[in-house]
Amino acid sequence: MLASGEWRDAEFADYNVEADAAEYTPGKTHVLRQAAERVKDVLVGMGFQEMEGPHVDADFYINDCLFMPQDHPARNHWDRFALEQPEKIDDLPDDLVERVERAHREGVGSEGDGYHSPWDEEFARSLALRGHTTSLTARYLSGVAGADVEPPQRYFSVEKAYRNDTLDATHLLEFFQIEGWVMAEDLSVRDLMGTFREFYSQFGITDIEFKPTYNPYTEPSFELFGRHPETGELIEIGNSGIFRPEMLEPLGVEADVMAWGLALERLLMLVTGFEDIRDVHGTLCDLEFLRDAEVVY
Amino acid sequence: MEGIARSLRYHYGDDRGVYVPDTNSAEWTIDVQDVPDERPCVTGAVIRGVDLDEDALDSLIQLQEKLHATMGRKRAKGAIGIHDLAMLKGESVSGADGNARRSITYTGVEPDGDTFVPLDDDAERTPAEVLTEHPTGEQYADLLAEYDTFPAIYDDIGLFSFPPVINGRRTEVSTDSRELFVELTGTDQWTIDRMCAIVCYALDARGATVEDVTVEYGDTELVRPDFEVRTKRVPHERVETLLGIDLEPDEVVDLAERAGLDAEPEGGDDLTYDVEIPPYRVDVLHPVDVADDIGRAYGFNELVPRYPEVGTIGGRTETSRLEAAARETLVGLGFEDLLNFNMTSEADNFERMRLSPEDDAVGAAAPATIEEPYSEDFTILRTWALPSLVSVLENNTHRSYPQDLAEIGFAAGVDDATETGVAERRTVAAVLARHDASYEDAKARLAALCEEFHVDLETPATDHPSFIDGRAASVVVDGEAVGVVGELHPAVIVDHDVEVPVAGFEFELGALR
Repeated sequence: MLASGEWRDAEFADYNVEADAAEYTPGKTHVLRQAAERVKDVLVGMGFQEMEGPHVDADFYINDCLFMPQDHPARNHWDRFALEQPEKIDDLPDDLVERVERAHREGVGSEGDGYHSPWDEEFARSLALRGHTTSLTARYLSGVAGADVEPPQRYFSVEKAYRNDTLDATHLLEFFQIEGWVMAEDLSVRDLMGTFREFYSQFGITDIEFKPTYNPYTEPSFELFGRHPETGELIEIGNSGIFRPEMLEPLGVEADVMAWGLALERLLMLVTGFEDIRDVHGTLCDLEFLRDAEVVY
Repeated sequence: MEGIARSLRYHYGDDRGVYVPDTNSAEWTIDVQDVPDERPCVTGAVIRGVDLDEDALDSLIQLQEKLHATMGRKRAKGAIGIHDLAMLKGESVSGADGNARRSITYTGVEPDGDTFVPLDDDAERTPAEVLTEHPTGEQYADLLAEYDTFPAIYDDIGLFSFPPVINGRRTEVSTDSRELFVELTGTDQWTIDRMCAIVCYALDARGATVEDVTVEYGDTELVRPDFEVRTKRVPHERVETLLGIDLEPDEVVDLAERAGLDAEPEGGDDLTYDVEIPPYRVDVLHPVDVADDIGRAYGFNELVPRYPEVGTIGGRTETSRLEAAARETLVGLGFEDLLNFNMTSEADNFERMRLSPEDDAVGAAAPATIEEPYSEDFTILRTWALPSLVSVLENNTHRSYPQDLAEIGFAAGVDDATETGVAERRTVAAVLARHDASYEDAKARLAALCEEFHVDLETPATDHPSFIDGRAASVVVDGEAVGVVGELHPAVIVDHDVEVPVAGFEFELGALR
C-alpha cells in the first residue's frame, strides 16, 4: 500500500487511542544493581578506584589485619560463617603475620599497648565468608592485592558481605557493603566529615550527623546519621573512622587512612522508600515487585 | 566494655582530671591454692558502707552482666562474684604486723567433691549437679567442659562460690547488705583487675568505701584493687592533625581534664603531653585514643567539614565493567536481571537439578561448605546460578509469563590450586519460561550476546543431567568449553512446580573478554 501509493486514497479507521495497550514487560536491571551502579558512578566521580577480592577469605584478612582481637565477641562462631570445607588457608605472608601478631600482643610505637587476648595463627588461617568487605581494604593496604598504595589514594568496593543474623525485612544473610577509604599524608576528622557530606549529598541526603562511637580498628570512630528526604527521620546510614596505627603500621602504611562502610540496601531504602528487602534479593523475590520497581538513577 | 569505661568517664567528668578513690588497707586475703590450670587468676576488693536500694542493686547487677558480656567474654575470660561480706566467715588471725587478718581461699574442687546451695535454688548440689540441674549452670556448662577440677571459693564455713558459673545462696547480696566482698576469677590478671576497678569505681560513685584485699599466689603477693594510673606521651601535633584545627597548649590541657585525664605539657618545639589515664579506661591503648578523647571534649560536631584536597583518579575494575556491559546486553535482549543468594543448599544446587557434585558437567563441583549454617537452606556456596533462577520460577508461578530471567553473579567451588582453596568466578545464567520456550530461543539469545562481545560461539551436542538429552549443547566460546545451553529436563521443571517449558544457559562471564 505504501509502495503503490494506494495510501493516498485510503480511509484510515480511527483507533481508541486512550484505550489501554497490551502490557509489556521490559528487560530490566535489578533495582539493587541499579543502585550499586549509581553508587559506583558517584565514587568514581569522586576519584575512587574499585577494589576486588575473595568472598571466602582467611580470618587474618577479615579480622586480624584490622586489629580485631581474636576473642572479640564478633569473632565467635555464632556471628560468622566459618567454612567447613575448605577449612584453612595454606599460605599467609610470614612477615605480615609476624607484624600483625606483634601489634595484637604489644601494640605499636613506644606508647602503645596490646590486647590482653590470646592470638593463634591457626585461628587467623581459618576460612570464613567475609563479614565485611574491609577484608579487601586489608588486602589492598598490605600490598597483597598487588595495587599501588603510595599516598594519595582513594579506593572503594560495592560488594557482598555475609552476616549470621536473623532474617527479617531489613536483614538478610547477604548484603552489599559500600566500602571506601582515602589515604593521604595528613587526614583529619574534618576531611572525613567533608567526604561524607559530599557523598551523601549526591543522594539528596543532607544534614549528616556524626555520633562518636567505638570500633576496634578506627579512632576516632563515628556512626553517620542522615535525615530521610521525605519523612525527615534521622536514620543511621553508615560507620566511619580513621584507621588505628595498630592496624596501619603492620600493613606497612605510613600515611593516614580514613574509611567507612554502609549497607547499600539501607541507602536504597532511604532513597526509594521500599520496605522489605526479601522482595528484592534472593529466590523468594517477587517478580511483580521487581517489575514494578521504579528505576534508580 | 568501652561504653562502660566511657560512661564512667562522663560520670567523673564533673570533676576535672584523673580521680582515684582512696582505699583502706587490707583486712581480707584471698589464698590461692591448687586452682584449675585453665583459670589461674583471681582478684577482688572489699566494699564498705554500701547503701543499695532496689534500683542501685539492679544497676550493679546490670554492670556486672555488661562486664561479663564484653571484657569478660561471656565469663570465659573474667567473671565477677559479689557477696554479702557479713555472711562470710574468715577466721581472724593476727598477722606479722599485729593487725587482724581474715581470708578466703580460691581453689579447685572435684566436680562431685562438695556441695552448696546455689542462688535461686534451695537444694544442696555438687558443682557437677549445678551444671546439669540448675538453669544458670546449664547455660555456662560449656565453659568448664575441659576442666578436671572446677574453680571454687571457700570461707571457714565452706564452699560459697562456684566461678564462673554461680554464687552460693548463703552470701547473696540484698538491699540490706552494707558490706560487700567482690571477687573476680579469670584467665588473664590484667583483664580481671580492670573489671574489678570498674566495679569499684561504680560503687565508689555511690558513696561506698573501697578496701584493699591481699591476693596470695604462693610466693607472690598482690594488693588489689589495682588503681594504677598509666601515662602516655601524646604529641601536640598529632592532636592538631587528627582534629584538623590549631590548638593552644592550655586548651589541650583543659580539654584533657574535661575528658577525665590529666595532661602535663613537655618541651618547646616538639611539644608533647604526659597524659595520665585512670585505671577504668581500658579502651586507651595508644596516644591516638587520647587525641580522640580531646576531640570528644572539644565536640566533634563543632568541627567544620572540608573536602580533602587530595587528587586521585577514579575508575572501575575490568571485571566490574565487563559485568555491567554484559548485564546491559542481557537486559536489551529482554531479560529481567535478578539477584540471588550465593549461599544455597545441596538439594537446590544439585539434587533438584538432577546433578551430582561428581558429574562431569557444568555446575558439578565440590562445593565450599559452611560449618554452622543459618538453616538447611544455606549450607554451601552455589557452584552455579541456574538453580537459583529455577527457584525464582518456582516461587513465582502465580506471576505472569513469559518469565525471561537472567543473573550475573557469584559461583564457587573447592579448588586446591587457588590461594584460599576456593575458586570464585562470575557466572552468566539465563532462563526462558513460556509456553513455547525452546532450545532455539535460548541459543538465539546466547548467540546475540556473544555477537555483541565479538566472541565466537559454537554449540556442540553434550549430555547434561539437568537438560533433555539431545536438546543440550556445550557453550564453546573462542574454542573453550565454558558452559551449557539447552531445554531443561521435564523432571527438573516438574519438581519445581513449573507448568511451562524452560530453556536456558549458563557460562563463565570471563569468556566474553
